[in-house]
Amino acid sequence: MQLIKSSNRKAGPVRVALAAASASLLSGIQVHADENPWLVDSAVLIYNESGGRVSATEPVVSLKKDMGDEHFLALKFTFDALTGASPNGAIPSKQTITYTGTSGRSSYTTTVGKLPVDSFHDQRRAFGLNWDQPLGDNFHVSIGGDYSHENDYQSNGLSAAIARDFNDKNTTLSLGVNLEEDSSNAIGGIPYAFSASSLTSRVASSENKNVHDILFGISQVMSRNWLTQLNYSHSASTGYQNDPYKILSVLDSNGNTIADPNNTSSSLWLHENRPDARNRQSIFWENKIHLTEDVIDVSLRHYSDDWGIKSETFDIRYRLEVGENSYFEPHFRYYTQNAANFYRPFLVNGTDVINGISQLTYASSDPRLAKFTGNTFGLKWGYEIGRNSEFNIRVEKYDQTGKSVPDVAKNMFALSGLNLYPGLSTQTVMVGYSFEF
Amino acid sequence: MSLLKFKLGAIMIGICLLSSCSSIGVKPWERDLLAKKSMQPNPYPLETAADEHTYFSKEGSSGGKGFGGGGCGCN
Repeated sequence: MQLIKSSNRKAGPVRVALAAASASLLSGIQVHADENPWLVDSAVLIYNESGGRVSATEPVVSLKKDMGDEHFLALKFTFDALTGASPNGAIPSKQTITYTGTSGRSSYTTTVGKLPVDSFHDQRRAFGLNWDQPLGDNFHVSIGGDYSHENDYQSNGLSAAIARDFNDKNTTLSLGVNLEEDSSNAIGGIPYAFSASSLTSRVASSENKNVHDILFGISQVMSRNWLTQLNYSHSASTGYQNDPYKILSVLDSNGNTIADPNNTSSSLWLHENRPDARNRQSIFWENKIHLTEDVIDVSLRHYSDDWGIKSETFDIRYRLEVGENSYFEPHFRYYTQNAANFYRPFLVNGTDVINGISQLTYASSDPRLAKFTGNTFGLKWGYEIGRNSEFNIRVEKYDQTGKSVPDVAKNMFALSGLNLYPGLSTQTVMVGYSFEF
Repeated sequence: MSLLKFKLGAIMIGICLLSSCSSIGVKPWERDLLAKKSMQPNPYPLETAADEHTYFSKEGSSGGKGFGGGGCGCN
């Protein structure tokens, strides 16, 4: 037994590195050879969007313990407090407009030229549990569960993964599956697809969505200072995938709102509708290279789905060692995506909508489904206090840019001069502290 | 077509990784750098999870590195 443990001290960290490389399925375990203390990883995330949009404060704690012979138990607790406002889906206007509020929310007013946003506050509590252990000489298995609860949304998930080492543990193949069941309990109920926002009747109080994920990963030690990882993942989701709070403006050929046929004192806005199935796939490739002292981490991701979205992501981090115990890590991420097939910044009366009835099967003005580019710039500083103990702080800025005037709006004089793309600018501060006890 | 090329390229890399393992990789005594925390593939899982969650809620894409760790009404 002592011989086995002694052997593990040499091979353990690399084997664990390979296992974790395989899609982080095995939770990035850190081996503690001599004792089995609890490893505590804690952080507070403070997130803000410019323009008075979403603000979030998120404390999170994870606990890990080697229960013996590399059988790891991991627990994770997350709490999110969210306040602010998010785009309601309508476009800016040259008039001050009062919205009746979607899904039972109270009315609110948007001034001239401003992005219509609907205020909200929510809390999210999430809990994760994971068990990881070796199986024979070359296998690792992992099982886990996740639970997340918000005022209007609930999610339960189960995951399992298996990884096998080859070639003196230089190569690891892994396979993971994840099953998730979500329930949307929109405040005020689930609206009918393409129903007018003034309509108070609802389809149901809640709707469900199921998600099945599978991920295949290969990680390979290329040399003493180079680790590479390649993942292919596929995700299939079925069920309710609308945003129950999002609406679409209905405009005439000049870009003016039209009257709601059921309430002529109000303009017409329609709830969105998306397909009830979505298949996503991605290929992710990451390289970690150890230079003389510093480490460079570069990754690429290609993503596509059957809603018509394709995206490319490039991410690079450079860990610059400063002295014995501290480091700086600049970070840059570039992201670009095209629009979903059914993305519409607004609907046009007479073609998309006739007599208040949508002629389209699907449509959404959700800016996350639009064509845009995102850039992230970040800087982190970390100080290693001791073995398994570190303090770090990270600041990041993320900006989305898109087309301010979509082609469909070019000749609509009522919209001229307005920036129709919602945009997004966020600032994040994250403070982390890890220790053992 | 570009996606197909991308997939083929990725598969080729995978095959290359598997087939040439006898000439790449390291011996157990050469793993000093790989054993460092900074060379772990996911040395700061809370940071990774926070980033994945943020991008999941603000972009049309998600996934690649692993599983999200639970659904969210933010998307």
